[in-house]
Amino acid sequence: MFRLAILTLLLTGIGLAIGCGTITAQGRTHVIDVNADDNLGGTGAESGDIRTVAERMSREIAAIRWPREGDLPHIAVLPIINQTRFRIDPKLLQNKLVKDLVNFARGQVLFLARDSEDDVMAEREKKRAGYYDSGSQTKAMYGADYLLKGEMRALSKSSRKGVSDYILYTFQLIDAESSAILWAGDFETKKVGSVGVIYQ
Amino acid sequence: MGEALNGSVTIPTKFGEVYCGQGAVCTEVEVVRVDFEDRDGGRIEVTLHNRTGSQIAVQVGLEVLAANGSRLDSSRFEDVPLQPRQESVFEMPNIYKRGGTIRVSLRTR
Repeated sequence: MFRLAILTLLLTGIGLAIGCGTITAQGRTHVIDVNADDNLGGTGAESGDIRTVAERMSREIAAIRWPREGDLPHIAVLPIINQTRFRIDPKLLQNKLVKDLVNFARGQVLFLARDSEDDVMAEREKKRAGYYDSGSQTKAMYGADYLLKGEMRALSKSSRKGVSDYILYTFQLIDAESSAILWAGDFETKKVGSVGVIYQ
Repeated sequence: MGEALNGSVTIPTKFGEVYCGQGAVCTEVEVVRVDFEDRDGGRIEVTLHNRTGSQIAVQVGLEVLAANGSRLDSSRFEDVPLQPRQESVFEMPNIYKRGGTIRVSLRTR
């Protein structure tokens, strides 16, 4: 009787292992590719969109032929403005964009960390006051040759059937002296789905 | 087996190859043509055709490979929606490397 029970358990175990899944199956929490659909629905910006926008804009900016040849262009990335109905942290896109810009530019363009200006100023003051050693000092922080401006805007529709959101991500590289637009790029998505998905 | 395996498909082309991790994707979506600017930093354009009668979406990724097979550049996967029985062009700027071959990967979302 005991042997029979053991054998039954063993066979059940083997059966489960062979018949009910793969050895790579995941538990309750699934680790998924960041570009994959999470199957939760929603018509706003997804992680894949953020990654796509950052890559596309960075590749385009890295390919620009700069008017003042020979000089290393200095670009200040301005905070991205989110005018959509979705509660999406614009810094998410900005950070990914800056990372891709630095990677794709391969040292041919200098990007300025304007949102770290207070920290840089504090460091400069402490170095000059003798709290820290001098390090490498410059008279002033770099000024920007160009400003990179980015916006997210949306056209949203809803009815009993569902919702539709067209999201337009636009970027402009503006000459910081003349205000001329040197380059403009955009990316757009249109998604239709059901109501009730919360972005936070 | 709990799941039927859907084998991968690699289709050699004159520009390189088309790869589908799930062969069914290559059945539903055809890579009609691949155009590229033959210079470093050139643009690649992939024309896709939805063979089905449904509105579908695939993810497309590009790799540019050297003659020895090493990867010179690659893109992230990107969603491409396709209307029933229609074509759509996926393009990626500043990616081609002169002399490279192009590997187009298609996968489901």
